[in-house]
Amino acid sequence: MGTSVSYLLPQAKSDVLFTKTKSVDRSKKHPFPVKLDLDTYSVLLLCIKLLVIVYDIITTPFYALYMRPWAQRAANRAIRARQEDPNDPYSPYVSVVKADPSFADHYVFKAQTIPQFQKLTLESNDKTNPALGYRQLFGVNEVITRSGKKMTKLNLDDKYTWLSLEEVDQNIGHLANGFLTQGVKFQEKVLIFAETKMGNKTEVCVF
Amino acid sequence: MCFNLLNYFLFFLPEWFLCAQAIFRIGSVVTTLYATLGLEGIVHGIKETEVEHLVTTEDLLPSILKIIDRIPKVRHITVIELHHNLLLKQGKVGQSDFDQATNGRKITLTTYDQLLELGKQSPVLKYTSPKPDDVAVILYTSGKYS
Repeated sequence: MGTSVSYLLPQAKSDVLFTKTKSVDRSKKHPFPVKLDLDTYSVLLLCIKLLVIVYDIITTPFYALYMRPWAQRAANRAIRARQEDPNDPYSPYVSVVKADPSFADHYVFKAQTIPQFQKLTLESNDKTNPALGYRQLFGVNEVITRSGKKMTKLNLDDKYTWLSLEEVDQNIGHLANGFLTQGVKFQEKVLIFAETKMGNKTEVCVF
Repeated sequence: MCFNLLNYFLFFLPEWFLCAQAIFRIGSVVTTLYATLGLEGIVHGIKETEVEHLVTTEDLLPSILKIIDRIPKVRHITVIELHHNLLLKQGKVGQSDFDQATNGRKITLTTYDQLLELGKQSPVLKYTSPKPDDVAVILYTSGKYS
């Protein structure tokens, strides 16, 4: 940041800019239909300023009572996470904020592992609910931009195609069995190597 | 239409998500690498994690082919096709290219659809469900947000 500022300043050439602006004769062309001298202006301005100040003084206490800035400040200062074991520097930080009461009984808190979560999601929801949506790919076009850069443009469907919760679970089950058949073992690493952005938006619903 | 509490927008293919969930289910470890790391970064990641199974997309297969002789532990590659059923027909990088490049070392190239079908047809195998303190993910970040 600092370097860019020092680079810009000598280019601005402030002296050149100011000499080029013409001095405006205010007496000839007047923006208001009534001609007022400078003193009347300043008196008018002063009146407006006074009005604003008086308005501010009267309304500030009510405004403060309504906005409660102290509550915001307290919330900002509050401790939101603590180390599980304060004596162990490697212990994880755990949230001390109480969950929203409407979510407190949510089944997500009962799951301790991802497979448990998958199972609970399937059991606690309607199996026909749309769960995984994606836009189908019709084709890929190679586009050359004006700067000569090659870009791949994906021709995607406007609408999302949805897999239901049951279909998603079945697919996961089949894939899992496929990986097992290929000899993937417990706690063995499997690499997923992909582009961070495919331009192909996928939407997942969490119930 | 959707009765959900949260919507997640992913910049990924749906197959990516399903593969990851399947790996979670059988208690294996999802390891992620991104193309932005460059070939050296990818080789490093694959060597460090000692993976035998690799899931990738069709467009990244040529990069895998380039480094295949430097990652001798990889045995299975699952390819997510952008156009389904087109990979092996269109004279793109395929099984034969890998057979040539690896000089007889056996690498099986499976498409996502084939893996899905394999899991459907094969007898259901037993697996161990992970415990809360087992590893689920190893993330090599994309390097975009360092």
